Amino acid sequence: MAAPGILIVEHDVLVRHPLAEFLRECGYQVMEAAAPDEARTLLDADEVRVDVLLARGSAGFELAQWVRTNHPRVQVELAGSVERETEKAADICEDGPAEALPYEHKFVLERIKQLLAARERAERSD
Amino acid sequence: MLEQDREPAEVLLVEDEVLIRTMLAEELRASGLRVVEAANADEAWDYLAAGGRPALMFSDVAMPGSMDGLELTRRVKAAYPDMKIIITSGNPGPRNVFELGVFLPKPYQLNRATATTLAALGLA
Repeated sequence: MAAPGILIVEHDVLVRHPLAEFLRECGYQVMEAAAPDEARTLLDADEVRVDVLLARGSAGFELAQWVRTNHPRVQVELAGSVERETEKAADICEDGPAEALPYEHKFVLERIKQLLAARERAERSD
Repeated sequence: MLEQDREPAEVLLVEDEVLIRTMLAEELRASGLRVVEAANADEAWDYLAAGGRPALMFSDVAMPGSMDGLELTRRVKAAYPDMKIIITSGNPGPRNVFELGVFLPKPYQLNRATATTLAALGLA
């Protein structure tokens, strides 16, 4: 049986990528959308299976309404912050096909914070 | 070191068409590569600025944002000269495109794009 599909909708690649890798380690098939329009394209595609949508911010709330109307079988998980988004990913992971967490979600959050800080330093030095 | 102990090579995939990006990313992952998906050149540069060091960048040319794939490639060549580069486009590209990296015309088949990537990484 194919692994359940998770669609992460997150505009910041430095947040999206570590979360996606974490959920892949949890045994899920993970797709990444950088914006709601990308998410709608993936959700409408016949060849893509999405069971859970994880999104952050106001764009995520608008997308959630569209999903509930057009893809009511998709479970929507919304987060208002990166911290909450990471916690949601950990909750999804605990329900996932893998038998154990690959690593604690606090390490994902730590990695994201390191990446964001590194980008800020690089921008300041430009 | 045993073959299975090696870290998978990382590919930075830069493509604004989400279905193409998703399908190619899955093919590359199925071939044993780690894939970072960037939806445009700005995201790719963000990842590199934050310390990401992929072995190879596979980039489309025409993309929305502050720079296109060619400008991104020129920056990457200047900053990270050892990084392997594959450029893809539906157009022929500039005359010097082959100096920037391997050129793969669009449309491409996923297995051909994957084979080109593995060959560029010396994994074919």
